[in-house]
Amino acid sequence: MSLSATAATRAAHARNRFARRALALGPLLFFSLLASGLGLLVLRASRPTPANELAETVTADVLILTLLQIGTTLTIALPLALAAGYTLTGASRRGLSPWLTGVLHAGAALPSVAVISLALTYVFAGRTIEGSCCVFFDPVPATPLILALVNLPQLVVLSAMVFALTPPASRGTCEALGLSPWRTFRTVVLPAARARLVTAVLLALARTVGAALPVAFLGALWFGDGNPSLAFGLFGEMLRGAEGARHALWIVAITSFLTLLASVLRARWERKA
Amino acid sequence: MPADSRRRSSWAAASGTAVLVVVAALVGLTLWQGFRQGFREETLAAARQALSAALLAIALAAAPAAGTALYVSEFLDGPRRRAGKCLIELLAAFPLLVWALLVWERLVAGPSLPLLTGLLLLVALPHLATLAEEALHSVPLSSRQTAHRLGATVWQTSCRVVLPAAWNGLRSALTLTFVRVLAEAATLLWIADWSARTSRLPDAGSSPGSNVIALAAALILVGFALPTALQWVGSHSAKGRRS
Repeated sequence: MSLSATAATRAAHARNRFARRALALGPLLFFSLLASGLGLLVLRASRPTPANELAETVTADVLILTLLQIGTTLTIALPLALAAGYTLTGASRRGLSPWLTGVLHAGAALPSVAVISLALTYVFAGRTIEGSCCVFFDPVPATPLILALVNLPQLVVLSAMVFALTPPASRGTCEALGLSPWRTFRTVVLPAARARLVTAVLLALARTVGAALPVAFLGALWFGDGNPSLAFGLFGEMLRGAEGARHALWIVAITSFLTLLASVLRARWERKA
Repeated sequence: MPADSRRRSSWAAASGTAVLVVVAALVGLTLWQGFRQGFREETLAAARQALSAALLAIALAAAPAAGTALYVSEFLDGPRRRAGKCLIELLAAFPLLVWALLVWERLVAGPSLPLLTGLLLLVALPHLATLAEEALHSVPLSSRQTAHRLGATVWQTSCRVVLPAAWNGLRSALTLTFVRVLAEAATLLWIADWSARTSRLPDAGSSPGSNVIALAAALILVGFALPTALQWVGSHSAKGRRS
């Protein structure tokens, strides 16, 4: 009896060791993908070809505008997504959630080109570069608004998912103590979900930068004026025959910097929690 | 309940409802406009290509992403876990556009299914791993500690305690990654198509892409039907287990 128990324990430990070694290949795969992507970009940017000579230098104005676009987009989208996540978490108790989540998933499947096409068709219809609308569109205020709309469904689903991950026991305790749903949300759910919300913001960040390209491109197509952000610069270079690797490297540098900053912030919040 | 708290609560609920209404209106408007434009043969072909590439990318990404998430969440702790998570997020922060740049000529020449799947896989893998790690890490520590005290190894705890407890979160991660990849696929197809047709910078007064809204409408239908069906099946199987 005791011998067979020992053998079973040994087998379980052997399986554990094997799983640890096999699963460690995952982070290795991620590291090699990251390293090869960066390596290829650096190689392309440093290659002295006639195509690269066509490339424009990235100025401080372009970087500031790109950061401003990302910042404004997230500033608009995040509070709205939190409010909708709060509503959705409440709705799930009344049994409405599957349909609402379905609509939000459908919204998240909406490509950014379709959102900007709809905005141009309905909001900016009949306006030209001489119209007052152009001042509104180019470059700062309208692009983040459209990017926020693109990101909103995904951010709402992510916030609702993060709020749902908060242990129901802590929520139940607060409600049993007579706290209102809003106070429970503000004092218990939100602080507990703060570190996880960083992940939602980081995922929205990549989509914002990626979606900025078609938004800036179609906006320029409509109004005949370029939006001097990194994404637009990159697409312009690709169309001119330049490789655009320098612009892409700057994009990666910005997103990596913001990711590292967010990771530090999350680590602090996790320690506090 | 104090009046101030009640007012804030209803204000938050009202703004949240307004956001949900805006999203629903956007979805409805796209569907209406898409059906009005009609689904031409090339639009349906693009939707089919986007859907098959997204499904393939998700199928290929699921196992490595779940394995990585499990390793980072269960086998690493403290600073090592934070470093592992940061590595995944650094890859997740790479926009698809940057990967597309590396194969731009082939993409403009006509994106084949393996090429599109490969590009989408690079988006799906970190996105899914990040969300799955969050879902696994949110399982209460007490469940893990109880299993360890009973003599279970980390692998046994992960398989028998953590994975079943995190199942709902993992399902949400999968559906959200699927819809995101679907949207990215459509954008990529549209940009590649546009670049192939007009190798020039935009001129004033040109109209935006016309059949993109019909393509979006087709993808919205898939984006609504597939996750809702998955959720319905999940809730019914949970009910079946309970009864």
